[in-house]
Amino acid sequence: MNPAHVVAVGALSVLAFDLFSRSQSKPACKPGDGDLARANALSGIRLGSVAVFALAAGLAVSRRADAMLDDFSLFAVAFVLLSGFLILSLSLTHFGMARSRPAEPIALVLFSLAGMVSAIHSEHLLGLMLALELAWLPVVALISIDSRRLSSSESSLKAFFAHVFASIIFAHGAAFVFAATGSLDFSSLNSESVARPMLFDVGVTLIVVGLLARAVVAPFHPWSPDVHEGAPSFVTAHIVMALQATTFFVLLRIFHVLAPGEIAERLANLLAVLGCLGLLWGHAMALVQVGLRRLVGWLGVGQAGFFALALVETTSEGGSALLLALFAAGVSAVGVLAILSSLSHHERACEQVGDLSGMMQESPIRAGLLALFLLSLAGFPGTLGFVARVEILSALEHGGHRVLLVVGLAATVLALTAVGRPLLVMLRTAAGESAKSRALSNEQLVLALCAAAILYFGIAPVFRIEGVADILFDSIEAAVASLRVAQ
Amino acid sequence: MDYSDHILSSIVALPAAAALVLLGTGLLLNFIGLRSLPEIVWRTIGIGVTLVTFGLVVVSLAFGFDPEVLGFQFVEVVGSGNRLGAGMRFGIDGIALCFMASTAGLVPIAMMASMREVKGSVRTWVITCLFLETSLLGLFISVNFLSFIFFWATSLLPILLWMGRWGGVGRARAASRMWTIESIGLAGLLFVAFVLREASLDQLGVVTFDLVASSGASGVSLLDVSVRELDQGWLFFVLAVSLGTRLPLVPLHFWLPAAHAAAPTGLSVLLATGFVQGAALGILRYALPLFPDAAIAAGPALSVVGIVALVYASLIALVQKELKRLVAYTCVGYAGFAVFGISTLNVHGLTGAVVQLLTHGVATAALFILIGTLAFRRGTTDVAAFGGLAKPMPVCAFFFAVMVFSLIGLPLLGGFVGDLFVLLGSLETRRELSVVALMAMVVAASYLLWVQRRIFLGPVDEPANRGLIDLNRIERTLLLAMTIPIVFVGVYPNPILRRVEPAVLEILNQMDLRSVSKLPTDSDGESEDEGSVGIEVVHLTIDLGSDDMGRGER
Repeated sequence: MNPAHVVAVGALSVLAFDLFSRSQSKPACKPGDGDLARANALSGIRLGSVAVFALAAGLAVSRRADAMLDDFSLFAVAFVLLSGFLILSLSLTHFGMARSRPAEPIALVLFSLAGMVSAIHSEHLLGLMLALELAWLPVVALISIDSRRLSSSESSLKAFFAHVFASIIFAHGAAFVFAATGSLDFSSLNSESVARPMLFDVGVTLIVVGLLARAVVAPFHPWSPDVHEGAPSFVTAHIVMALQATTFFVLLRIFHVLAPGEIAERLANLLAVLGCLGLLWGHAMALVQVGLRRLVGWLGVGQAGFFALALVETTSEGGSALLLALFAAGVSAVGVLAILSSLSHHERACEQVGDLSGMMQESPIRAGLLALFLLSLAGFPGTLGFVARVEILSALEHGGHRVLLVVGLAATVLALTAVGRPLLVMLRTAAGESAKSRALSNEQLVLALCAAAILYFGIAPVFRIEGVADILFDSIEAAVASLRVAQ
Repeated sequence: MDYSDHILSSIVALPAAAALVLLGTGLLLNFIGLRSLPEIVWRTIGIGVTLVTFGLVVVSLAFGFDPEVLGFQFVEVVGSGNRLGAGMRFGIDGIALCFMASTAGLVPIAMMASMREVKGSVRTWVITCLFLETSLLGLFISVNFLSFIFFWATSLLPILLWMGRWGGVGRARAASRMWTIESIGLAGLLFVAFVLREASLDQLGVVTFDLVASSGASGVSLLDVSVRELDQGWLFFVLAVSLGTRLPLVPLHFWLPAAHAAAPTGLSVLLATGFVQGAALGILRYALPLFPDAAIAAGPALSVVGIVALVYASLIALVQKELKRLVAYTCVGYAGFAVFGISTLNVHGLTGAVVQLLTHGVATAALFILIGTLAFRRGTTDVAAFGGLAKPMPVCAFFFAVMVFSLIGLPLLGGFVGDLFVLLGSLETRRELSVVALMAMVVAASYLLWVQRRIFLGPVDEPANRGLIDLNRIERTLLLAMTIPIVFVGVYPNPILRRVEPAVLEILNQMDLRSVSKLPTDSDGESEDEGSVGIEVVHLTIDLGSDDMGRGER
């Protein structure tokens, strides 16, 4: 059984369960229905989590039984699973506060995860396109889940248009490749001599651009900061950690399949230009943001620039650097969003940078964690983000791209300056009476996991502490090695 | 675990471990719903830990350190190489030992000096201080470039927290400036690290940032990497600028006066000492041995920069109306003078620079404490608000005078030794500039003496100054603890010199071994016969340490 099937079945189970519970609680207008709804919500979430864990079991069985998954797919699916777990945990806050029935959103998340897993597996361009549709369309719906807010609907619409644009570009690319090679298999991208090379080149370029447009790489990014502002935290986390990463997994596989030659070099140049653009644009815009979520969104655009630069050196060290960077950025962003979620559901709204004023005094632990996550996003030493950034920049220097190295370091300065602002605002003295609040247990779980990952994987390599860190780095190496073997 | 094999890591880890225990205790008390412990308990524990750390430094290192040995001692090599080339590579030479002892001794003083200013969140403050101590000490003992960068960066966070949370007026802007300039410095350090990593991979086949060769299969160090003469120039420039942001080297100094003005007293103490010394150590430990040809070529330019910094800072200090900013410019000026000493690239100059950083650091730190006491009593740090304070505050006036005299290089005080050696060094290789340096020192002395006269001498014009209370017992103790080493170094500098000189020799020998061009030996640029530079250096050292007979055989 394919792991994607497990997730899809999990999503259907959630829907079925919800249908069943609705029929049981027919008189829906009585007092106390809120409790019932919350109970159902919790049940739905639990079921969703069980489905995700079932996926893990299915994955293991599947891999052991028929060796359908290579190491790269195993890593990528495990990554998506982890992000799914974090996102589902984070979503509890939203459903707890909104007091809405969670079944449909949870099912949408699971369907999206199923699409991602399928995309990771896919070795056929049409299958890939369908898988990406399955991964994206539920997310577009999820962005507008908070329909009372105008920004939510607006950002959903923008994400939808971005998705449509990317799909059209990708579809045209696939059509051109088919016209050039007569096949839609990934292996057709490896053709060294094709009948119509011009069509092939254009097709491959369009496919890559179509994927980059989904991956928030500049200049295809304008929807991303808006989505950060409009969507609930768990949806944003889903986009940042799972969806973006999946797109880069696919890109990584395509770049490994692609035959080395002129088109590969052109694409590398394109990625270098777009990467630098994203790095400077994203981080520079982050400098002037007033909204916290938009700031994180723009930092994400900058991160995407780094990922694009890692793809420039895909065939050497760039691949493993990219995988590590995706993990680092995902965990850091989810951590930031979990903090913002925990701050926003209490009496005091926390949407602007200025809203963090006095946080060090009121909630020192959460302030420290937010600082840690932001510093990791900016690549500060001692964090996982730093290790990932070092890997990417080392790969660029190793590949002889010193200009890109300088741009990357300049962008790091911008990123550090950008995150410095919220850090310093947190240190201000609180103006008035502080509202005592603490993170919910589900948020505490997410925060603890993210902080532990960032600190441990950030410090262990610097001090050569062997242990769990080696497992991560070894599995990344194995994943990239399996791609090379496939190549 | 054998403690003797892990002395350095144990000492450095102690404050951080204590901080984690305090953090855990606080969380536990919060979790079980008990009230937090009284502030005095947290303070006492924090200061106690820093005192124990200082005691360990003194006992384990100062008495266990062999001044006869060249190179690093107490070397700890843990683990094997990894992709990053980072690692736990610790070791100290005489320079690091002095800086380490100075910083470890000043942290408890800084904490005690700050007690009045820290109101609220005392536990967080104590934890901040302990983490800051670990990161500063870690900076001194790192003999791996990447872990140096790690400690370099992590030392910034507690400083920002301290300033941003407990600082005075203008702390947000000061912290923001500091963060920005430090980010640029960090990026520069990383750039050099990436280039060295690639060179190491190309030439040695492995990635290493270690200054001490590991005993493993590779057995190579960063010093085995040869950097092309062409590349050395800009790499040295980037590294010097990056380290210069923290030193601070003119014109990268703009953040420091604002930082000192906004910083609490204790933080100013550490900014003037450990923070600056870490940057200077970076130049001595990495910039000079790794890029010797560039350092030799850039020597004259660095000398000019150093002198200009001293003159510029002195002139700017003359027009300052606020005491903290004035002393901050003193730091800028004397950092320039230390760079001048380093740029001479001889034993006298480098030794003088190190001693100068030590003694001037302590003196300026003491001045910050004195200004803190004045500000506490008078509520302002404006120069114009004071006058004739020697009458109501004679003890304060005495300590202020001692520190000022040390800074201007009065004989029998620590500052004299550093200044003398820097000037001796400059006479050997930068004879023309040494005259200018001497004049710059006169300018620097003039404004310090003016401040001394303006604040403490003359009639007591302001009525508010008449009833000022002199230093209390704790303040006197702190200042006495800082005066003793200044006087000791001034009267009997050999214990310091004996430990610093071998480290300086090792740096110069490494430069000599790795450089294509020759180290400057006199002002005309004439060199001795082949391979004589190292020998000459040894003879100079023997002249300096006349009480140390055994080292002539080295």
